[in-house]
Amino acid sequence: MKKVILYINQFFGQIGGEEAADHEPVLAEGPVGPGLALQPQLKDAQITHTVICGDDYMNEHTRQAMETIEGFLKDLEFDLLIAGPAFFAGRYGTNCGRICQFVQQRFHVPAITCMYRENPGVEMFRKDVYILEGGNSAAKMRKDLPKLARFANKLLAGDPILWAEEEGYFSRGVRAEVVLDRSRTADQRAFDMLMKKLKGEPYQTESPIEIPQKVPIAPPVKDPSKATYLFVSTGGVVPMGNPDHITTGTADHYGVYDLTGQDTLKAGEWESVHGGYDHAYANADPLTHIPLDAFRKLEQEGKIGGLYPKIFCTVGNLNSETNAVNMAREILKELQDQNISAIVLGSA
Amino acid sequence: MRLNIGNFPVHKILFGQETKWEDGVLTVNRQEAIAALNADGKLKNVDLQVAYPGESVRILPVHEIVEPRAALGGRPTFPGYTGPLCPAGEGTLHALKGMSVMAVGKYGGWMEGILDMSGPMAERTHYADLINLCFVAENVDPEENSGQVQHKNLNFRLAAHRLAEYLAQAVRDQKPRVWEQYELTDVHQLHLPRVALVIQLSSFYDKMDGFDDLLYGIDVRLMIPSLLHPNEVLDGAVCGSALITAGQRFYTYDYQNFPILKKLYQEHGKTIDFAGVIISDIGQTTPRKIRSAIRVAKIAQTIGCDGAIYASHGDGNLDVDFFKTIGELEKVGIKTVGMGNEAPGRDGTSPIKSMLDPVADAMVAAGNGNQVIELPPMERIIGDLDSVMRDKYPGCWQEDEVYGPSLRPDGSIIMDAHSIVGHDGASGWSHMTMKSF
Amino acid sequence: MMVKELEKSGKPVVHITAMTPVSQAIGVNRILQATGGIPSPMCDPKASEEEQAQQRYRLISTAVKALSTDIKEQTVFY
Repeated sequence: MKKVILYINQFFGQIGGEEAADHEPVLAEGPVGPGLALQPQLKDAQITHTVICGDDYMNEHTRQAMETIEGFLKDLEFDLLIAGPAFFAGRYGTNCGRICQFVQQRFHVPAITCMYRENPGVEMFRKDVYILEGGNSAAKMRKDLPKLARFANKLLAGDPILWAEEEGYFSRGVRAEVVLDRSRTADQRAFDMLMKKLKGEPYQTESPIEIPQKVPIAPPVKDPSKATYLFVSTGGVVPMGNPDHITTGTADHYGVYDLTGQDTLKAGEWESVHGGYDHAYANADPLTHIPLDAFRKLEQEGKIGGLYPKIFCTVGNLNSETNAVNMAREILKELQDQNISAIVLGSA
Repeated sequence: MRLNIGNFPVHKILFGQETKWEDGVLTVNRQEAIAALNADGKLKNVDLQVAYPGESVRILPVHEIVEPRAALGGRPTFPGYTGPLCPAGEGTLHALKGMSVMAVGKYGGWMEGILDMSGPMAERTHYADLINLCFVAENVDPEENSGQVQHKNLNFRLAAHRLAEYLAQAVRDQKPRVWEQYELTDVHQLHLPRVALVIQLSSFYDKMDGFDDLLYGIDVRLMIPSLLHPNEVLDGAVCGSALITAGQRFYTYDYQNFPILKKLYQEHGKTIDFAGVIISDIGQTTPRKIRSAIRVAKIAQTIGCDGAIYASHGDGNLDVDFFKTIGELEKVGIKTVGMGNEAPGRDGTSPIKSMLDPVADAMVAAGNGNQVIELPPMERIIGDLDSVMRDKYPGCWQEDEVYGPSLRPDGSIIMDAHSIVGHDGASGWSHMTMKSF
Repeated sequence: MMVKELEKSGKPVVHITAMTPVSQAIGVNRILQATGGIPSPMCDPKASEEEQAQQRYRLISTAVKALSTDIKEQTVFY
């Protein structure tokens, strides 16, 4: 019987929601939360323990969290660690990738996780960890668990792991040769591809060309004392009542707020609508996300020319590339006639 | 222009009194064969050995590979090379099928390759599927074994073509049971898409003859792209080089049997109108590369192409030609598919080619030029196993932090695909592709 | 993603974030490590009010400095 450790966050570990995101790691015996549904799908393997850790705790006290978890695991025998699934939860996904990477390096035991393709954890850890492609919300749990179980069973049985597309994990960035059936020779494949291309039918290149998308580095501001700075926030702090109805996640628009004549922001006039963190600090003091007082001080001291009167606010939580790019383009379009020298973007 | 190729399958090769072919058995008179291949006496210690598919045999270093053929009607099989220069692509050839003539030397290194007839290499090269009649030899002139001259392999290459021509004389006067016929019939009234095949020839050298591919027996260095009739390629007008690593090179055997060319012929008049073969070069300066790219596109445009397939030798600076040419073709509206390899480094994490341009949106990956492969010892060696460590092969190393030396004391080898004879099979043989892991 | 798209305008952008590795993985050019965590990036909410104000002032001053710095490659400012 092989032994498996499960890693989940405070929410799936049934400790609590955002208010419990600061929770230190705990070790539970046997499967917890999604582990209960996962266990029967594992072949000849048992989830012996579950590690539960608050998302913020792991994110902000990574070293301590890892030390605690290392203490939990160092006396346990296990053959695999499964983390998540983390869906589209950015901190959770990042933490799943982080713990998998740590366990592989420290204990030389394979570790796998599962999350949505746009979860930032994918880009951060795909090179080191097998991350299976999962759904974008916990509603997809029933679809993600069998994927994790199938792949875990394969790893535990020592079966060869095929390429990313075939197995459903995010490519680790390694290209390798695959021997096909003898009938699938390059001449047949090239001819078929050409015919599709000529007919305007879809075809798939065998050598996808990925150019890492780099944006040219914009030239620096020459004289800050004459420059106008635009402040954009994806931290989700908006005027009380959320007049622009910005969603808590996957936002596709932003609000524009004129701060002319204001030197600071007051509690009770602003609130956070961001779905990805505890709002206690932001609601108690909006300056924790929109540092208006700091900009005003720099203006008064003559160190900067000024803050652009309007700020642009949205929610960065779970956002897709498409939405982010569209919003950025709209902001630029709106400001194309304005004399803006540089942009400060604050995110949660 | 019609080319008829009459095929005589070979299942077994024996040595005997008389060189003859009978019911699939080729009998070879050793002395006569050696005299034919060594007509000008430039080789010594010549020996003939046969390697069968599935046998525990390792052949190295391989210098050239040719299919035995006899041209009927008094012309040489390889015009301008094994005889006087005359037009190719028309008439009748008799060919010994399922076998090759393989030139094997003593000194490896540089661009040369290794072939195993069994084991993990065998499923990665079409040459392990053939019965290979190997001649092993050394140059008489010690100068030929040293420096730049050595790498031209001139005597070995010519000898391979001569032996191929000699062996096929055995079937010159026999009646073939299977015929292949190649003719570019006029199908313009069917309004099928016009498709050209672009073949990148080996043409690296600016200053010196003797390394590059041959066109009618003449070195193609400094060539500019031109239009060939597909029959010329099949009929010995194009012969192999001493350049391009063994894993990626088109040997004469590949030109004689070019699978994608045959495929386009098969589809001619059915799904496409095969417009011809454009041969392209590998210029060693940027202006030459750009000029070639433009020339290929202009030729394709002139002959009214709608589509093209570009078959590339390998990687490195050739990638510039690859992307620039595909770019020029696409720019004039000719839809193009590229056939070539990837070279993402031994760990597979580097960019797949040394230059990348998303204009090449339809590529067939025939293999991984950097694939590391571990090969068990073989019972029989044809050639010289010591050459692995003594001479520098393209995919072998003396010492490596991760892999150790390429040749181990027990005769096993660890190397990369550059040294596997025929590995990439980018002319269409390959049943390999590349995937992301 | 938003940061990169904004920088396409040719104006320098600095990204203040508690999760610099994400910003690095995405390919942002100028990155500034936030003072606090995700729920409070601009300052440490557990510090005194004066300290928090100083932290914000220091952070935005560094942002201004980052935007005036001629960088040749992706740079994380602290």
